[in-house]
Amino acid sequence: MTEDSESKETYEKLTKDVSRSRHGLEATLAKKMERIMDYLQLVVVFILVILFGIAVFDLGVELYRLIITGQFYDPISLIGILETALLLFLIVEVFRTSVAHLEGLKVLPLVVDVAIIGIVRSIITFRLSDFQSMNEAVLASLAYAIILSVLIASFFIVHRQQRKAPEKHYRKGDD
Amino acid sequence: MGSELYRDISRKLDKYENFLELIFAGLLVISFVMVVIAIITDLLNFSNTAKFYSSRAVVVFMASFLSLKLLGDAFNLSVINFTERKRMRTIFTIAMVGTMTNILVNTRLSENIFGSITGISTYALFLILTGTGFFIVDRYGFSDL
Repeated sequence: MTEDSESKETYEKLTKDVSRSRHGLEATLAKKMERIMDYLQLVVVFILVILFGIAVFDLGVELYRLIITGQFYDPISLIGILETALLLFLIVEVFRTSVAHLEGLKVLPLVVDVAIIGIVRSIITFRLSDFQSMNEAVLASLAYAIILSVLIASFFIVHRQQRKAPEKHYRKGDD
Repeated sequence: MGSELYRDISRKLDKYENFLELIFAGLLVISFVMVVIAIITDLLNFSNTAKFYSSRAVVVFMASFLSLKLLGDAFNLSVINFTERKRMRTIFTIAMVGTMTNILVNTRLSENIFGSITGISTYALFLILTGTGFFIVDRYGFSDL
């Protein structure tokens, strides 16, 4: 009877030890993985800065081309410049989202902002003549309209929630 | 320790990004000046050739002025990015002015009345939606967040 209870105790102790060590191993692995992910995300942030530099250069080249060819007067060309400019803002917002994520801050409002800038970019460059038929154009415009409506609703909800329960969000230039 | 390192590196990258944003703002100023010069040159040219009375010329002029407003807003956005205020308000303004420019430039009442109405309705829908976004940002003061 005593032998039975002793072996039961030993068995329970062993099981606990194994479970604890497995748990410890999992935690260590998870931590290491998290660190690797953080490093990789830092690389992404670095690439975004390079991408931003390339996009600024591209804007400069586009500007130079417009000046040389004299297309500056054409509003469509100017909207093209705006398209590039909004692309730059998109990169800035994605950069901020990555930095905020790295610092463990809430990123949802930033993600909604990025999505809105993206859809605004598509809307201001939307031209009916780019589509083969009128039906395609109408379908595309409806799709944009639905996405924009959903994003505006999300923006409202997210920011209202943020106002109700202010949490630490990413602010550029914070120390 | 690790998170402090990421924070330091990301803040350093942030500084480089700020510098690039300054160049970007400078390019937008150059665009603005060039458009003003182009408008003045064309105005002089039109007044010489009496093209000024054409309704199409007036529409193109209006579109150009709206483009100027767009460039101004984009510049504001690039500068406002430094202070983090009223960003989304400016984004919705750009969307509205951009849509209005598209209405002026891309839609004309032509023989294909169905196509014209569809085009105008499409842009009107975008205008209503972006206007709603602007209203929400402005009315509820999210721009101050």
